This record gives sequence, structure tokens and C-alpha cells, in this order.
Amino acid sequence: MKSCATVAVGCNMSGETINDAPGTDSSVKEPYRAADWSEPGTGKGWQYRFFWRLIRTFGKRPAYHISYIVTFWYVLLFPSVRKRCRYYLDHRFPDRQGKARRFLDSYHLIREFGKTLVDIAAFGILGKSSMVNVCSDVQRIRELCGREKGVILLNAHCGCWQVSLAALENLRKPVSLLMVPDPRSQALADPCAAKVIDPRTGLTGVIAVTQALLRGEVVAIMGDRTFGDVQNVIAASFLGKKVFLPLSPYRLASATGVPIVVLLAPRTGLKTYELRLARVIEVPPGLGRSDKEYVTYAQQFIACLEEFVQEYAWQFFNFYDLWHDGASADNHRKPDAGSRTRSAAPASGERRLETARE
Amino acid sequence: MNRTLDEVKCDLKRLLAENLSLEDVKPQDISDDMNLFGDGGLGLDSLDGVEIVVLLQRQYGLDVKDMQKSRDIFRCINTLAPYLLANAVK
Repeated sequence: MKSCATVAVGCNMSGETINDAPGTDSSVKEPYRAADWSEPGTGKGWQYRFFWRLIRTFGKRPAYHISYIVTFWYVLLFPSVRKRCRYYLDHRFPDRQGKARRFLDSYHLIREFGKTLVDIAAFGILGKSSMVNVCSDVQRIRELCGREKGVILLNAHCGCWQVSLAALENLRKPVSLLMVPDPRSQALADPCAAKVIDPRTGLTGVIAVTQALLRGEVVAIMGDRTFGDVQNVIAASFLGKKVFLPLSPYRLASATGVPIVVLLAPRTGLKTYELRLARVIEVPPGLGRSDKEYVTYAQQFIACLEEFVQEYAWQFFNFYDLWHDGASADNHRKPDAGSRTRSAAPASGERRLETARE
Repeated sequence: MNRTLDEVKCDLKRLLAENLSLEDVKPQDISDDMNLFGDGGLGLDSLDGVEIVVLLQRQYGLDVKDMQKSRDIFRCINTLAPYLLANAVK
């Protein structure tokens, strides 16, 4: 789709994907099924085609209305969809116990997710005019990204980072996205045509990302999903309980000496997203291999997420049990965790964060 | 690069032992055909590749261009040293 290229972040966007067959690298551990951390992808191919035609022909508004019906249908008929919503909602709204309330909350979350999918599709199909990016921090972001050394843009699955990153299209630097390629968004119209590096490729992806940063390029990483990796993770406290996050952003930053820029993108209106520079995390150089050294910086990222879900409770789109993954990762990790000096992630001692309330 | 293959291998072993905080591992403990990554061998994991790539870039100006072959290049000293000898710019 031609329009995809027009909203690519930066320049030199080849749309190339580094995506070897996962699992062929012995250093890649994947004890969870991919579905454990994926979105509730119950949509079929013909449904994506239907929405594609609907948006193309009539625009976004009818697509929203149809999506309300479709998402209600799914939440009503598929207990698995409701279950996937509860992982987050039970931590965000722990006091809501009534069946009707819980059902409506699940519907609310899935409905917002559906709207975001429509926005992504519309952005790719209809072009930039379908959405307006509000970015008060754009000059600061461009200044950070415009320096000689590279930058790690740390995103999360909340709001719509795909659309909002387009606000940075004039960076004039190559941008790589470290993310699992999403065939569903490609089936619609993926607005991010940046080079995608699949984190499941292990060493190949690590080398590609490291070299990109050393060349002074921009690498965008989703900082809230471990993609099934139980070795290179780091503990942090999110909404009062331990979760594990990918260690890679922090080790990359320390080894290459680049800053981490936390970008979040809440949907703020019918046609508006805000690209928000939540924080710049400066990881000191040379921290080495021990994950304990990086806990402080991971917690800074989590603090950004907690602030986000306080303000935009219905725009957090991780439909898997982050908190269970934390416990599971503890069980799966070897004492030396792939390193002769690496210690297990701390089970406690992180800054205790007050459980979020509505 | 005015070094022989054997000198490059020695340099690599010293770099890895000194910079990756490998306790009780001396350069002479790393054999030429020992797997660097994965279970067995040196036991590094994929994220340790970050430090190795940074070290090689800073020390030798090495830029691995062929990503599809990177896994083979970084398999062991025997595969990494010839690549380094051929592609180092410092």
C-alpha cells in the first residue's frame, strides 16, 4: 500500500524484515506459546478485508460503529476474550467484582482496542489526514534523535504508537523497529514501514540492533513484552505486583551509550493522538551483564506506564498475564541465567508502588 | 590490519575474557572451536552479543553487513577471527 510509505518514520524505510525462523537459535528460549502474549486475535481474514473496504469506501466513522457491534459480539460469546481482558483489569481495577461491571469493563477495553485498530488501518489506507498528531514534545524528541549518537525509542502497547510515531517522520535518520511482525496489521495497512527486526531471531537481531545504534540510528523497542524470553528479563513492580520486562533496552543503552526516550501515544480524541515524551532514561555506560544493575532504569519505564494507565485506563493493550509471566519467568530462569556472573532478578526490594485506583 | 590470524584469535580471547565479566575464564580457557553462544561452550546468550559487537566495533571498526550470516560468523573464534581479519578497518 503506497500510503504506508508516506507515513514511515524517518527516511530510508525499506520495510525490510529481519525474521529468521524463530527457534533455530539455541539462545532463544520460548517456554510460552506465542498466543500467550498476543492480542486477542479472533478476527478472520475476511473480516479484515471487510473493514479494509469499509474504511476505504466510507471512512472511519462507520467502521467504528461496526466495530462496536463486533467487539460486543466477541466479548459476549468468547469467554477467552473476557479472560484476556481481566489480566490487566483485575490489577487496574481490583475493587470491581460484580459480573455486570466486569463484563462492561472488558467490553470497554476491547472496544477501545477495536477503535485503535480502525485508526491504524485508516491511517494506512486514507493517509495522514485521517488522524492528527499532537506532539508538544516534538522539538525535544527531534533534538534527541538528531544527535550524532543513536537513540532508543521505548514504546509500549498502549494508545497507538504506530500512528503517533509518524509525527517523527522528518527525523532524517533510519529507524528500526524491534518487534514481532504482526500479520494482522499488515493485512489491514501497517502505517509503520520502518525496518522490522524480529526479537525472536536472537543473536541476529541483537547484532542488527546494536550496529544500528552504533551507526547513530534510531531503534524503537516495545519495552513491555518479553516475547517469551525468560533469560534476558528484568523485574519491576507494575500496579503493585512484579512483572518481568525485556532487559535488552537497558543493556543496549549502557553498552552503546545512547539515551532511552520513552514515548507513549494516548488517543486523545476522535481524530487525535498525542505523542508524549514521557521520560528520558540515561543508563550509565559499562553496567555490564548483571541485570541487578538495570532495575532502577526499568522501574523508571514502569513509572511512565503507571502514570499512563492512571490517565488512560482503557488504552493499555496487553491481553496476557504480565504478572503470571513474572512468576513463571522466576521458575524458568536458571540460577546463572545464561551467564556465569548474572544473578537472578530480585524478587523483592523494588520500589513498592501504590496499587492503582480508578 | 597487520595481524596474523593467530594474533587476532588471541586478541579476541583476551577481549572476551576481560570485558564480559566471565568469572574464572582466562583467555587460554577459550578454545578456537568452542561455541560462544548457547548451552555448552562459553555459554553466552544472545544479549551478550551487544557487548561483543560494541567491543569489535570500537576496537577494530568492525561492521557486520551480512545479517543473515551473523549467526555463523559469531559461532566461535575459528569463524569470527577470519571475518574480523578480512573486514576490520582499524
